[in-house]
Amino acid sequence: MGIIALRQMRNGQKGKIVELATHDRTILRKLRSLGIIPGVSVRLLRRFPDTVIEIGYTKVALDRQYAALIYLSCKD
Amino acid sequence: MHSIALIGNPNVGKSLLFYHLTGNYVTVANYPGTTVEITKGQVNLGGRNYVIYDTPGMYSFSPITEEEAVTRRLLWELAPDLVVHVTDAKNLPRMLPLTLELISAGFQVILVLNMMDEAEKAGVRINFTRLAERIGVPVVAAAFTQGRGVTALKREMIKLLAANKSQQFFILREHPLVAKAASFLQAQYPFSRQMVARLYLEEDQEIKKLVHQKESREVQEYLAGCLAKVKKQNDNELLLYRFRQAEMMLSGIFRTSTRHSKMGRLEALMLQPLGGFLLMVVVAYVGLYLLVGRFGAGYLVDLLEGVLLGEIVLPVFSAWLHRLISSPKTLDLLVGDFGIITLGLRYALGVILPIVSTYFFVFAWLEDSGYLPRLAFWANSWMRPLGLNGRAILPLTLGFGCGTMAVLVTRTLESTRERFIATFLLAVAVPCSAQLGLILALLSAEPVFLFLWLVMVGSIFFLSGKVLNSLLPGPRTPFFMELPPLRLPSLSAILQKTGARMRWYFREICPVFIGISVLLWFLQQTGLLQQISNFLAPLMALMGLPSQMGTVFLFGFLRRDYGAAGLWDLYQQGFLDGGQLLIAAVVLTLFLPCLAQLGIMMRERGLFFAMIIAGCALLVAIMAGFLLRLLFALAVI
Repeated sequence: MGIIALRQMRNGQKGKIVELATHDRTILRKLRSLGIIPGVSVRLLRRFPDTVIEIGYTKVALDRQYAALIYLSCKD
Repeated sequence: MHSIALIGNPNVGKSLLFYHLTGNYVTVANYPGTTVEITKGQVNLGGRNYVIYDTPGMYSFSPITEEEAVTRRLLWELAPDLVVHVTDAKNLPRMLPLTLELISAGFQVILVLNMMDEAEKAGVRINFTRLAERIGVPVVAAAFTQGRGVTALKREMIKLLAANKSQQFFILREHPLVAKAASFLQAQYPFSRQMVARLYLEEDQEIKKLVHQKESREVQEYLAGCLAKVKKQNDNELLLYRFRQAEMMLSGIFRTSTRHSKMGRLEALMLQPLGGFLLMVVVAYVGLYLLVGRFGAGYLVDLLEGVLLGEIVLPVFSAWLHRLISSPKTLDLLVGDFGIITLGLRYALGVILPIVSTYFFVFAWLEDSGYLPRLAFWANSWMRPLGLNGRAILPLTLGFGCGTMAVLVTRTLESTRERFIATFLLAVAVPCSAQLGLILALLSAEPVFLFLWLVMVGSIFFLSGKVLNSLLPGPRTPFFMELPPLRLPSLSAILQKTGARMRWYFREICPVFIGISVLLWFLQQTGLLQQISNFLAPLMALMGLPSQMGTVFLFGFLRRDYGAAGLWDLYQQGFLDGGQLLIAAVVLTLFLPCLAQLGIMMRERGLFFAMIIAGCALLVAIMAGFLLRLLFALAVI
């Protein structure tokens, strides 16, 4: 189990969010509105041109600035 | 009268429920954020009438965009007697926090789990009875696309509206610091003190100002103390409190399957840079060129304006009027060159109606299929140099339908900066469907001209975006958006939506068209039209255009689509050669936005900024025309 940044994950890989690396409340709110909060499992679907992840049953598109804030713990 | 509000995340089916309850269709789309304004309707429940509001999407009580702020203000100012929280059942863990917020704010709430059909297909199991017990409000399972759950919801609504408001009061646990801050508050607010305290601790500017007005200095000092404590602690905890609470409430009663939704091939194609581009070209070719340009502006206009109105209705009507009315001035006003009927109504019904409705039909199809959010994702990297993000795709694409409507939809953008850039681009370089349809039809005889027009308008679009991005202060806001599932749209929904948009459009434009006819008639009668035309003649000459074009541009300002129709007339009468036609088409596209759009720009952006944009549009248009003329001159040599 290691902690890695979202953008280092492979397509299709799953992970659990452990940290959102910002103190900006507006950004935290936006991420929260999409269900991106610590403790939630996500799966990376695309990295290019921007990030698409799956949270629960929702697909969410994120700009690279936001994707860079997300750190997860992954199994392998 | 008692009132009801429909609240929920974007794209969960609020507007569809509104339709089921009131029989009134507002625009519903498979795109987050299509409802930008509050819609008011009436619903009859158990023999009594209630006012019901459909609201723009709202994620939480801490608004991020203007639409969310609009909804919170409605809750604050109208204090509805009943709030129906509509959610997407399969995404309940993400949406239940808002239910809890609504309850904690002191509202009487019904939780609707919509899209149960999709949830069941995905293997989600929910124990509704236990959920209702845990959160203390009624829970209704529904699938509004199939009409499922509407009757059950109505029953619950009647029950709650008849009950005494204070009877159903469920106390939720609050974060200790919020509870403490709430206990200090003295004044009365439309929201519960717990909610006011929480928003205060989140440093919500609107609420903070209000609390400072209403509370004594002593209370304010206590609150400041709480705020300092929150800041010392990890304030993320406060932000996530409701999420954790929702998680606890759902534990054991909300089960998901381990099955993954796979990304379909079509979807993967849409999101790739190259695939997305090819798909966009196909959509633009089929949707814009074939359907709007060839079918709408070509075939339908010929049929309606050329045959039906031009050969049958108008000659008969005109002959009938000539027998009835003897005053030449009145006759001129009705059926003269700029007559209300011969010009205003003919353009409105014969030219604009077929083109705009074809566009709205195509747009509705794109919206409901779920393509637009994917287009937004794809376009995000293209929008970056313009200081915009993928979100701007919705207003910009809608701008190809009606710029006036599109300026209204720029509200879905996050910052003032983006709203300004988008409004500017809409005013300068995005032709509305009527304009586009006619231009496509006019230029399609010469594919080279069509290409040149595209290059010219396209480069001005990108150039003005780039210039604005470097001139305006502030950063670009990063993109984030939910990608709703791809669906095959239902024809009846699309027709209803097209109809709703057309009704809006005609309510807006018919009076304008008649007004313009009267104005032009007046200008012609007084000789002012000739003077304006003379005044514009040197400008036209500068761009190598005949002087009659001055009138067309005047039309274009009064109503963009009207100007395009004028261009059509001039070309048909043989006043323009090929090169002039191209110059005229480019200049007219870039020219001042129409009067209606200018009005909305002033309302949304303020008089000052609207005037700046209009001035720039004028300048850019004339410069582009002049440049093209020089290019032509060079080409000839």
